[in-house]
Amino acid sequence: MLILTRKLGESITIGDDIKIQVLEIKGKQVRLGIQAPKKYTIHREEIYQRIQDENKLAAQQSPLSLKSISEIWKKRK
Amino acid sequence: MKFETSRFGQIDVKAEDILIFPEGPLGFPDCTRFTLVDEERAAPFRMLQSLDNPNLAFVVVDPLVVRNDYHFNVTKEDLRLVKADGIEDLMVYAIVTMAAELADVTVNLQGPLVLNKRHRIGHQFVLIDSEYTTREPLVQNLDAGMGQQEEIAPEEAQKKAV
Repeated sequence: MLILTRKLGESITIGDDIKIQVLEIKGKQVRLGIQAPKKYTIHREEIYQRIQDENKLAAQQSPLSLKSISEIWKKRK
Repeated sequence: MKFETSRFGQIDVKAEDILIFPEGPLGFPDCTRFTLVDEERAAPFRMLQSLDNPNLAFVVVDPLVVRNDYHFNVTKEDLRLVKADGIEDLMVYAIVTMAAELADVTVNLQGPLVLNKRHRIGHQFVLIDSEYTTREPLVQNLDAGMGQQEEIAPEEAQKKAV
């Protein structure tokens, strides 16, 4: 991993078209401004990771069958 | 075209029933081809079966069935991801995480699967600053009066309080 030290207001650039600027530092929080072409999706890593983890969990087969869940679900209505 | 699946055995899928997720659902970048399979008496739940990995299948549901006010914003860039011209081309599914008990079954409303109905291209969206989480209980606001649901309700309340 490349590690760079930046001060408030300073930036780094990645390639020709991505710029990341330190906008604010408050205690343990850092606010970053990101300029990048729209083709790049930018996520907070934890949200991305959470959805990925949830997908993996959902992909496992479960003891409750679709049929039974559907029956209980319909009864509810 | 014929595909092997662990859940349904060999299935015959018409070309027009193949859904392409160019990037795969998050965490499954190699699984780009899916099809929707309906099991008997399983509605409104459907199976999204991978055609690249026989073992991979997601339980999906129309999120509006779960929360009738479900909504999120879609940008032009989002539409482009699934090659859609407008939101009328879109269809949305939420992945269900099954559990042994109905009370523990959750729906991922923060990472909806957005499909272009016309071109059958899909993408899993990530809703940022969303009011929804990846683990919304399937059963919410249980009606009083049904034995099974009364048992479930206190657990639900506890989970929310945490």
